[in-house]
Amino acid sequence: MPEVLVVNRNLQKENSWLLDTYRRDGGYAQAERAVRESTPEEVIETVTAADLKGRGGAFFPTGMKWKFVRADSNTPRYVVANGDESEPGTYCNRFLLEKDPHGFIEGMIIAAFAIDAHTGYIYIRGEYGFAAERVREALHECYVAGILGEGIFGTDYKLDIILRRGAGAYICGEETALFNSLEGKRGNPRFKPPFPTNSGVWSKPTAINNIETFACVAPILEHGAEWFKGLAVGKGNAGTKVYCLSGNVQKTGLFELPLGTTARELIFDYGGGVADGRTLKAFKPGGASAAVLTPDLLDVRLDPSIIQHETIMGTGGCIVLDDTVSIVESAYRDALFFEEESCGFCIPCRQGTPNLVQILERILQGEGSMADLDLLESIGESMASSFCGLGQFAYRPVVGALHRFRDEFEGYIRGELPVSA
Amino acid sequence: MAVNLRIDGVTLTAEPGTMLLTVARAAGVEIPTLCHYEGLDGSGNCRLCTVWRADGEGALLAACRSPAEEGMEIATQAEPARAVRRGVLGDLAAVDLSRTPELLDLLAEYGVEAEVEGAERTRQAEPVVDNPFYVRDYEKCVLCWRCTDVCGEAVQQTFAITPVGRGAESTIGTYGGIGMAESSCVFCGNCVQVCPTGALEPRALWELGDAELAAEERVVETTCGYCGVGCGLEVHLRGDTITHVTSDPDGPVNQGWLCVKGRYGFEFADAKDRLTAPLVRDGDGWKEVSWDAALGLVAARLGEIKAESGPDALGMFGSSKCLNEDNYQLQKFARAVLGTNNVDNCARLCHSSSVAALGMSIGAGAFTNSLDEIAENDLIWVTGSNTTETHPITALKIKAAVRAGAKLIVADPRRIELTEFADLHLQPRTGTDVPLYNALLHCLIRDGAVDDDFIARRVEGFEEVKTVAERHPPEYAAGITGIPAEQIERAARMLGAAPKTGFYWGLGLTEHTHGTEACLAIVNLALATGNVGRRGTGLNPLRGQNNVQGTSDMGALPNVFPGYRAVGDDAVRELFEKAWGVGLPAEPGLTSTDMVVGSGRGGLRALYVMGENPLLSDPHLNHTRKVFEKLEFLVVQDIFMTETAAVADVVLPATSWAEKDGTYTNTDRRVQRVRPLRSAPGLARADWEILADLAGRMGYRMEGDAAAIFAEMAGLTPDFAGMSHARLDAAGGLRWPCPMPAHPGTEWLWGERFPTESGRGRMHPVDYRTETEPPDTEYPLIFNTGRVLYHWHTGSMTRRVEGLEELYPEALLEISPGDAEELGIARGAPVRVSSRRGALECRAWITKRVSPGTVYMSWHFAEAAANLLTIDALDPVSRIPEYKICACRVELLDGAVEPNGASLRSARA
Repeated sequence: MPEVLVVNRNLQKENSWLLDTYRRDGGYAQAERAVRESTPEEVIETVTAADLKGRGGAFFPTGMKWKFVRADSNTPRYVVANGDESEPGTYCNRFLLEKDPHGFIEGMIIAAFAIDAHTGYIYIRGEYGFAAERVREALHECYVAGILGEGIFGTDYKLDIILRRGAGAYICGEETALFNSLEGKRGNPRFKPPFPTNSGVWSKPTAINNIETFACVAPILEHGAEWFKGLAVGKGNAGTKVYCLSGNVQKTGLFELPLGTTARELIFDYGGGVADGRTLKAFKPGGASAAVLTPDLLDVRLDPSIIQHETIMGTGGCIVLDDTVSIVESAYRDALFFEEESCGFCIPCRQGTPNLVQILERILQGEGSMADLDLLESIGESMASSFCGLGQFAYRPVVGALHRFRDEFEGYIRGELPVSA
Repeated sequence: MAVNLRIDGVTLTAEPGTMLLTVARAAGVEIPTLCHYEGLDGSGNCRLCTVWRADGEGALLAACRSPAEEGMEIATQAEPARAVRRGVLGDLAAVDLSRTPELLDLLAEYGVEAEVEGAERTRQAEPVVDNPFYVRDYEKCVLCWRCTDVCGEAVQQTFAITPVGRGAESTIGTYGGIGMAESSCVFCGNCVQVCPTGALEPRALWELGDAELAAEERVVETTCGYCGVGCGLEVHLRGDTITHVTSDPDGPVNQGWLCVKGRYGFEFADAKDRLTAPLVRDGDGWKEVSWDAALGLVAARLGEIKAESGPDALGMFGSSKCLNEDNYQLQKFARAVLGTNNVDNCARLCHSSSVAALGMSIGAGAFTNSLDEIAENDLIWVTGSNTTETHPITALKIKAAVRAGAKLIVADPRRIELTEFADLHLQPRTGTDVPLYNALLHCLIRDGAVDDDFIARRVEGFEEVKTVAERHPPEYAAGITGIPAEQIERAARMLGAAPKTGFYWGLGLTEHTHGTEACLAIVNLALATGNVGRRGTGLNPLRGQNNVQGTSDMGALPNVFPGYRAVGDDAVRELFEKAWGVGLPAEPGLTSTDMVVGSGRGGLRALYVMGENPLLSDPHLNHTRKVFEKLEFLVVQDIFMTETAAVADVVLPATSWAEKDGTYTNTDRRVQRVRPLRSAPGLARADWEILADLAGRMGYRMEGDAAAIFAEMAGLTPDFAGMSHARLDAAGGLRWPCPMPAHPGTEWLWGERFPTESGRGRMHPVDYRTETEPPDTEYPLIFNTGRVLYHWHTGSMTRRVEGLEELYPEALLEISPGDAEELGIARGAPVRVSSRRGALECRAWITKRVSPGTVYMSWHFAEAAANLLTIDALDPVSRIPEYKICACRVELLDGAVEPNGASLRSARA
């Protein structure tokens, strides 16, 4: 089965990142038509009807988000593209930023018009230097071509889009931490409510969406809501998702597939199965934050409904673990990542993340006790009340692994498994 | 519409948007908190207040930041919530909580074992002691972020401290890890007050030994003795030693926030050189004598001079630093005992122009509205006031209002801190306020943006003023003021558009030979736009000293009795004659400036000065000194041997703020109690008590304590008739007018009519006059004077506070980079500044705060006294000296001195 290329439709083209290439195949026609001929309400209606949901992992309905922003009379309003793609195993935004920057910029322009914003920000993680350069060049092309700036597309609608860079913090992908960082402050999250739709950048109503979400917008306007909805499989899904496959699998990389594709299809049909003749031990469906699933769950759909299996869809970064992998070590690596990335703002996450690391180290070194397993659970209970999503999810890969592979944890404690270095 | 919810099974009703914590606490349900602090934004980061939402799918909510919703079912003690708290408390167990017993109790309640006291320090090697006022010991820090919230956007907007690092490594620090004294810290100590664990601790408290710490702590509630804001203080003492100062977050004036002087400036009261015995001049030195001997001498000399030359050969200075009771007693002494109206106070030197202008126009010279109403201003107009340094808590209110959406216009020749918060900074050449305000009025009239209805109903004299305004197009004013015409236009548009504007001004407007006219010009603007006599607006002079409002209210003025009633008014005079049992003079007396600065009507032979220091505070000091030396008899009643006391014949030791019992009246007319922290040192006595004793020796009985004096005043002064010490103790402060005991006091004035003869506000046409001494080729620069954050007036108090001296030890000349370069002056270079009247030497602070052509100095420092240079030209109406402008010359002194880091640190460009 071929991929369904909507978001990634331009990636393989020669000089795909240039405005000329993008426009040759009808690029910016949707933005131009929206700005010149549509009303903001019509745009929001179409996006709402298409049932586009946030591709950053929260799957909040995009049309509803824009409607909320527009309903707030406070001005100015802002549109923000979240390009702080930092979830381990996730790199779909990176390819869009580097190879098709105009695709999501067009989506941003349409969103800005829909919410009557005159300023947009693109926030790109510090590590994505090349991606940022490509976006900078793309924005420049847009200004020269009258697609951005005063009176775009020959109308009196004004829109500026400003590029901002992160400085290497996972937390800044959290939308409110991103706002703080964007405003020049320390990147720690803000309390919600108020939500970004009422109080985002500069405490003004803000539509913040993932790069991939914006990239869906122009195709929706071009082909219609019904077309978009028809792309997906599974209940309540619409459109495609760019899944990122990594780990010990035959073919790693990006696969744009109907949203709701099963793990089995992704790993075996598209990824060619486990590499090196090994067998599948477990897989993480949505980056480091997602708890592992076992092979008996290969037929679950990679969509938000996966939450019933004590894991998350997340960013769609699927990581394949073969039978040589120590699940406890894998959980330890996740714990190390979150210890490194906890911003230190709230107590449960600041203290919980290193506590998880310490206990897992103890267990891996053969010095753990059965009581440590209870301790992992209780740290999780405390971290559930963390301030933001980072802490609220950071314990789940550890506790989830414990629930599905308790034997392996106990094996280390009982000295049946080799002590790790 | 209110929402219904259940907390722990009890049905409660709450206003929508109320946080669960507030709802629970109001209902008596206790939820533990750590990061939460009323009045801050609240980080919500400690999660200790986590509760369980039992309805729906169930959820953990932070009670401090989660609003009550219809149908919520909240269980504060549900296991998931307790598990979170247990986890949080467990995470705190390694923190040194020795100064936080209530947190230790909470740990015990949740079965969490705290680390034993004296355990090894794991988080920070040593407490950081890098400034005079507080110690930072992050071993005790729980990272609640209250301190950074206070220092940041929520309150102070100073941004000296910030969370640094991330994850478990995060801590609180300065930007770039520099020391506090090098940072932007203004040492308000508000972070120290909100710290829940003692990680930030007052240094004086930190330095106490265990034995002293164990001593019982006393807390006395009183009122700050520095500026006119009148902040409430809680002074903490062990024995007679002040350990630290806090402030009640529920306090009506300052909501718990203080500035560096209020929180840390108390040490002067314990200074070793406090006056503790009466002194009589003995050749070149002093002789300690008994009260009997000292007062006997004073009574005799005053009596002799009065007998020889009449009562008007005598004069008295009241003090804006002293109590209402002291000043009431003093003016009564002058009038009833000496028989003269030659009584005045230092309001003459600061806001006499405001009082005169407001009196001429709207009938009364006081804040028409209140500090609280700053929050209701749509536009805040600040002029001639470096508010962040001279009224720091008022500045916090302005910053808060701006943060909440108010517009701010600052009209000031200097680029002061508040300009960073302003929508518009109008930077006039010093002393050109009148054409600026006339031009604003011009634009408003031209654009039809004046309030015609208000003018028709409540104003007279508009037509004459309109004629003058018509002659002041913004282009014309731009030529005089140096403010671009388009900025004047923009300011006028903002003023015309704002529904409610509050005008706030300081001495930049008043201390000119045209000070009264400048104030009248701003009054015209307020009357034309209907911004007075209405809530959320007002003509509000920011009064300088703690009791400068009260001292004038009490009648320590040459022309009025208490309550601003003319001495020439027969009915009023009869009232006081009857009460005091003695005939009183009807002719207004001499102002302080006429007694001292000008030759006046002459003939003054003896002067009695209570708590003032004219030999540093008056203009043209060389002349002032000659006048004082010519006086036949000078009595100074003070707490220190000031520059003025040093030339006196008799010096009488009085009580300081720390020992006083009575009342101060703050800038918005709020009368508040001042309570003694301990007894007076040595033989020092209350000011009112000294005067009563002296009166007795001159044949007049003055009876009763401070409460009785206040009662007598209130009985004779309708605006205060509803007040007494007892009521002030119970009510915590009342704003006059308060005409009867059930009256709540008055927040804003003149809603119906102004207290003028016609009941209308009177506009006065005013026109531009240049300063007395413009710069010329010989003295090419404008010399401007004022104050700094760390010091107070003539420095007699603040220069005896070691920490303030450490932070700001010397006078500095503010000079613009261009002027400095032209004169070859480098940062910190020694300079000689001179005018036609005198010269001084100090070091240069090169800063863009001052515009080219102007230099600026504070007048706190006796060793480089700015008033040696200032001119003693007076405003013809208010008799205020022109402190803000004279011509000067600056020269580089030979022998470059190594910059002394300390003072230039404080003087941040």
